[in-house]
Amino acid sequence: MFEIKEISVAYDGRTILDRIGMGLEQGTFTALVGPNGTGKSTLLKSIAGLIPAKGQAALAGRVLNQNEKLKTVAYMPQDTGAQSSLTVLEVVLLGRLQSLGMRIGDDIRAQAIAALGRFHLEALQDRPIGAISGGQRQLVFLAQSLFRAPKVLLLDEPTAALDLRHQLIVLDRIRATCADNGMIAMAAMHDLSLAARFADRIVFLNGGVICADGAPDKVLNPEILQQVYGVEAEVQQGQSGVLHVSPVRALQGIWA
Amino acid sequence: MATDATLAGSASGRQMARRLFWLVSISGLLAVAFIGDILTGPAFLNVFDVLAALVSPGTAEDPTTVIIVHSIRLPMSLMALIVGASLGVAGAEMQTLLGNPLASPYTLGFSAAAGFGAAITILFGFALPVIPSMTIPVMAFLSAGVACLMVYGLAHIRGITAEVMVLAGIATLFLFQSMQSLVQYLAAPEVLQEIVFWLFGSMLKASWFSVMVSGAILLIGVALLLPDFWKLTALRLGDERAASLGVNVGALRRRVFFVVALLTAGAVAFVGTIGFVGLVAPHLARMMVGEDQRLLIPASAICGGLIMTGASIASKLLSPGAVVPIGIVTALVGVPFLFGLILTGKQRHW
Repeated sequence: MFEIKEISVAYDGRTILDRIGMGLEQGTFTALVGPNGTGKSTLLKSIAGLIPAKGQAALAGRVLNQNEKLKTVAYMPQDTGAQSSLTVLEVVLLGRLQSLGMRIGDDIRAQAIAALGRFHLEALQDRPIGAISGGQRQLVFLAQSLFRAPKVLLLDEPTAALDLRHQLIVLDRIRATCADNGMIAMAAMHDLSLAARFADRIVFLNGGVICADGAPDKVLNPEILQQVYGVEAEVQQGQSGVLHVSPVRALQGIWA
Repeated sequence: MATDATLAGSASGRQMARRLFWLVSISGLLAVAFIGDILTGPAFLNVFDVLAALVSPGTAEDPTTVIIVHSIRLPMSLMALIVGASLGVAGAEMQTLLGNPLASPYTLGFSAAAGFGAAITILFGFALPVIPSMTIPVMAFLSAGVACLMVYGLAHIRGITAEVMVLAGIATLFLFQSMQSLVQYLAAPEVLQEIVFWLFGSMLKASWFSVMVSGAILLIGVALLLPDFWKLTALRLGDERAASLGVNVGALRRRVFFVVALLTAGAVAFVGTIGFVGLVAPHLARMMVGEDQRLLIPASAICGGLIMTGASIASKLLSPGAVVPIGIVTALVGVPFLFGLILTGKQRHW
């Protein structure tokens, strides 16, 4: 169990996150959803120890210090492009930056190539990261994050700007790694249908607090969507049994 | 899958072999250029006599050659190499730290500050006790140190990000350039000529002492960068990604900033302002060996040394009987290299 306790963040006297707490079970994938600017990225970064925050993160009952967080928790930022000419293989190797020396052993190189192989990207290993497509790049960064073999993986909008196929590949691989290795994953997402399809649990964040939390079929309903997003929406179950969210209209008076 | 991984592994091995080949090739080219630089000058020297003077000066047949090589040409050639290497490494790290391909050791105003320190020393004609001949280099070094502290102070207050450092650096650059211009405006014609000559940059100021000091600074600078090679490589993915990989970006930027300041001040204090090398040498290196800092730093040093050595040869050949200040010809030598690589390169490297 990975526990987040009383996480609070404030900038210039303005509260961004207010005493957020939750427990994430081993081997589960949680979707963190909510409107833009509501603190999703801030929460992920504060859990990963990348920004100053009050509160604690604990794994199996043990509170993690900064060094332990770096070893245990991996954070994958939103893809904002990459102008670097580092090769795809070098980018994946950087996942284990703390253990790289002047010489890279054949074993660690083979492991990095195997990490790329999970996404069928071995052929790209010598290509510059800035010269491949956005979808491929996101898969490379996911391969880098998984190469770290983290116990907890936090992802900031991992499917943003990806085509349908890449969205499914990315989320499917995250879910499979959770199931196979017991990894705990939490991803900030906007696509509620994808969240319902892949996540074990959905946490709604709004105004810096959690306003709904539970299994997709428990929390994905028109009332909560209206309360969180200010929209009228339909939630239907598809033939495959997966919930689909269709926004109908933005409600007047709720949002300026 | 194992077969795929093996095939893929050999592909990455080939790329590393290609990069090492480039590194060895430019090292060989630098060695040849270095000998060529020693050979070039007003007194005609035989290549075998020069090699003998270098390898075993005690048994060389021609004592005049030994004296010319060891007392005049070798310090100048070594200084060109060391200054080029220092500026190449400083430029590579400046571009890495600021995530900006146009950054160079001069972006943050260290060189302009060194120029001001030298100019004001020449204007007032004062001399340090004990080491009067070292007054200009010491003042240039100290002045660069003041610029370094100014940029660091501003960045420390506002946050040591690339944007703040560039803004603080550009402000410092303009400040010292203005003060340098003011000193030149106030100077008498003969003093002005001396200031301008210093600012052009010249290897004629080189001595064994300057070679030892600048060489030691280069070695110390590179040694200080060694533990951060992988962190600096990660920084090429951007601050946030580097931080997510466990890099303390602020602390890294602070450490490397001081190394860059040290390398730049060590390079320009003795020989004057030399532009272009710190900007272009890292680009040349990146085109050949990529962004892995284990190779980029030595390659940037070698490319910087190569440009400076080539410029040193050109400065002695351009005007028979005189040595044109090397700072004037660095671009003349470096630009053809750069254009050639841009035109033949298959991909962008910045």
